[in-house]
Amino acid sequence: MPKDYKSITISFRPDANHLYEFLRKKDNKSAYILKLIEKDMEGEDNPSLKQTIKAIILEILSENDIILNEINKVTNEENLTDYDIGIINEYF
Amino acid sequence: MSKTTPLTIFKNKKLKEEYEEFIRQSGETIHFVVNDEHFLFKIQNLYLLQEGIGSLLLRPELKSRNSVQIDIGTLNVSVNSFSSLIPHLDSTFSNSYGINTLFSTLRERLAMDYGVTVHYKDLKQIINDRILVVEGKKMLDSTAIIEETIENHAKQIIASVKAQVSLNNTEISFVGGGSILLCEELKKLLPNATFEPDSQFCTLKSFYRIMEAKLHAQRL
Repeated sequence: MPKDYKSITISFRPDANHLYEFLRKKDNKSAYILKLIEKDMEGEDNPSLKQTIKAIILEILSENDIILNEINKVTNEENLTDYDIGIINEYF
Repeated sequence: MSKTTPLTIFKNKKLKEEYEEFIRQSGETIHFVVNDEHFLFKIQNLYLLQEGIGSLLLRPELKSRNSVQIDIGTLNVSVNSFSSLIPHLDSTFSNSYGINTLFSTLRERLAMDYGVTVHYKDLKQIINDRILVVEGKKMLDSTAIIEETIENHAKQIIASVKAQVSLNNTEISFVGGGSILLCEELKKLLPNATFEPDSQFCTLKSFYRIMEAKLHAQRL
């Protein structure tokens, strides 16, 4: 191992034996683990992944006739113009 | 959360701040027991709104008109004036011509004329029946006395409004539980006024619309 490489030792509890066996069969264990970590880190800040999940959830909800906007919908909003809303916010 | 605020407090900045703090309980947990059920909550956003705004936000035509909302309650009569939706605080006031004043006057009058003690709880029924019935016996001439007393009370209310607010070119709305009780007499005095069908809850419904507008503005 080159001098500037860092190493880490990991231990497996007896109940994680199947994970140990899985990893053991990999040819390049370090490369495999690094790849997993990278994927995980990308997922955390990946907005497109978040958007994809959000879209999937909304699709499932709408397929089941659940409309999220209904909860926060401003009722009779059509009667209040932006001007009215402005007046109300200024004077009340 | 919106909270109806007495006009005397609403028009005074310092009192209003104190009232807000009192209702919010400094954001601490508030504990209520209603019908043996416990409610715990904290108030984050509180809007103090003036009492008696009535149907202002329920009738679209009032958005472009001068309007006066006269809220006849148990203790007070609150009068609110608006141009379009803009409140005129200088023409907004409350006085003590609530239904309790009418009850007291009528009670005294009936006690004097018939020598009977009239209980407070019976007064609403007497006003609705327009007749005093003493132990099953109808006091036929009491109708004129009752009607006269109610009429005088209605006149007092209208005179107190007219003394401070112009009713010309203005939509007049009567709201509050008292307006149901006095409806007949008030209609004789101001035939073109509107009596809100949901008079006891229309201020609450208008508050709801104000909160909707505030919520809407927050989202923009």
